[in-house]
Amino acid sequence: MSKFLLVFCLLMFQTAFAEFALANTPALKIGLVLDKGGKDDKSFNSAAYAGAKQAEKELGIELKYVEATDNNSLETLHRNFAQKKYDLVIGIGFAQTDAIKKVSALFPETKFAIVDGEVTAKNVRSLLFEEHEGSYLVGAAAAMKSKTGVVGFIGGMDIPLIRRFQKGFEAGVKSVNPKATVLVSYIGVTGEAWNNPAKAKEIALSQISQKADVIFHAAGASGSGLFDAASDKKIFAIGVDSNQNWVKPGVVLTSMLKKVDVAVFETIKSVKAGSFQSGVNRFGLKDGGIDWALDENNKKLWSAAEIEKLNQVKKSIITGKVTVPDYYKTK
Amino acid sequence: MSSEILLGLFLASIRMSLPILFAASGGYFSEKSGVAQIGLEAYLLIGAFTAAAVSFQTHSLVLGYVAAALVAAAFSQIFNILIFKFKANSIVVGTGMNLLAMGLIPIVSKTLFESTGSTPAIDTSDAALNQSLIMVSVVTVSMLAICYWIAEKSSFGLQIKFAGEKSEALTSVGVSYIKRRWQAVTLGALITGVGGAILSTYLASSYSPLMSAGRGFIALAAVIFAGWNLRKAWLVVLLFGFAEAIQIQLQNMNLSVKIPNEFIQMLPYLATLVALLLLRNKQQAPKEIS
Repeated sequence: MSKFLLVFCLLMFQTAFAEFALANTPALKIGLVLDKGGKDDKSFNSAAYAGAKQAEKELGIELKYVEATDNNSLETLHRNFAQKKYDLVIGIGFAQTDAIKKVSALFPETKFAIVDGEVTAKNVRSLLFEEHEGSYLVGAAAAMKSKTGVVGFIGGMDIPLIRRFQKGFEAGVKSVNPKATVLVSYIGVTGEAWNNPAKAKEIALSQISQKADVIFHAAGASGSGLFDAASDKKIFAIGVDSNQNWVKPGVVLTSMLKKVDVAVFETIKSVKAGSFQSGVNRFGLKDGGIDWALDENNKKLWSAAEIEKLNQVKKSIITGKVTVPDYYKTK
Repeated sequence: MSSEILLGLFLASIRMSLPILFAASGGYFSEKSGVAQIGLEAYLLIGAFTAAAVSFQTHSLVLGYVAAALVAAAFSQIFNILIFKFKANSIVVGTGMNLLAMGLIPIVSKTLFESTGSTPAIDTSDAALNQSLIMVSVVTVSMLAICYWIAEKSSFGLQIKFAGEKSEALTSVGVSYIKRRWQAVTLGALITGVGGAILSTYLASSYSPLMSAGRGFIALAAVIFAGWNLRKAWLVVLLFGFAEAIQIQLQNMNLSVKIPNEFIQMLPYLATLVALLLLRNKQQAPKEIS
């Protein structure tokens, strides 16, 4: 009897120990470096954060995120993660390209990913989006909904990436209404442009005074200024990056989705599965990485015919029937 | 140009200059008393955050403004203690204050709203917007009147000036110049905090991180370039706001001549610089400013 007890105890001990050991397998450590807009910009950074958060929940990784308050701190933030032996460090935003280029060369064992930037290195995965395709699509949507024939575009910082949004948007507008006017404004030429809702609102008001009745923004956290102006003056706004339809239901016509969340989640998943690959990943309309948002918040604004028409536009871009001008490739 | 556009331009100029107007007035008192003040950005941010958070929680704009003023004034006591008790350099501490505000707000907002920086949006119904407009008008006009009265008509204002020009004179009549400087800095932070409140509750509908976007520094530049003259500083700020409004208007016009966007964006700064050169006067910096 005592022998049996002993064996039983040993068995128990062993299972307990095994469980203990299992619980102690180090979880995958993921470092996320967000851009100036911060995790609650309801746009670009929020999407990235949502993707990482989803991975934390579903894949059981250990997530730590930081927000860069100025560009000079970026390199230090990446370096810190790499030094602490994080398995994957993700940089959000074009501004982090240089920092990742530098730090990834110094820490070849650490894996890196960058959104909106291109870094060629063995341990870096670049996640790029075909923003012009989605902008074209919401441009068409704006032109369909505009009664005055004047639509607006508000860019954040004046950089090629945002110009790419603008060019695509303009082309989309003209495809539906060749006579339409597109008013174009940028908030600024420094990083502060992503955090200046007061100025975005002022720009929106100025565009509205010139008869714009649908305005699209690609301005990160500044975009909330557009939504304020739009609900104040009863016109339509179009959101960007995240689904922003919920911010002001009935005012936000749709959002151009740039599924940074999916890209981030997939990258983390690939590291977890051991199938991480360096190189460039491009997300577009084709694979659903770029899309337009239709949900309960904006459903009332769209008739079935209009939805059908927009999906037609989408299809013709995917099949290549329509070529969207790309700022990166044209002058 | 139709009168409608002109009116729009005028209102836009006012709106663009509002927070800077407050920050410049606040900075003026501190500078005039002999304390260099580069921490205006911090008081704007603190004021903006406090106003947005309190207005959201209490549904009262008035409380938001009051809280913004008080919290900014309280926050400036860190500056005051370091400067006056420990004789620290005001430029260094001012920079520190800006960094502290940037770091502190995300921590507070994380505990309050589970968000690092932005606050939930306040009420933006038409009624609320009207109330906000009235509030801003009343507050701005009274701020200008009170600041003018303190600076030019009151003995307190005169003593502040003496604290910056010749502190011995104050000591000789039994007034502590340190005390006056302390009060001037606190008053300045209080006024600037209200400017922040306008930024987050009137010009926007919530606080978003770093939303002051350099306005504090522009205000300081306005004070210095205007030769530490309050009314001239206001004029410079209004001019800057006007140039900003023009700049926005210009960008939206489809001009036949293609002017580079960067150039248009630069216009407000350029216009302000040119105007400052024309406005130049003999008035010098407060003699004992440090």
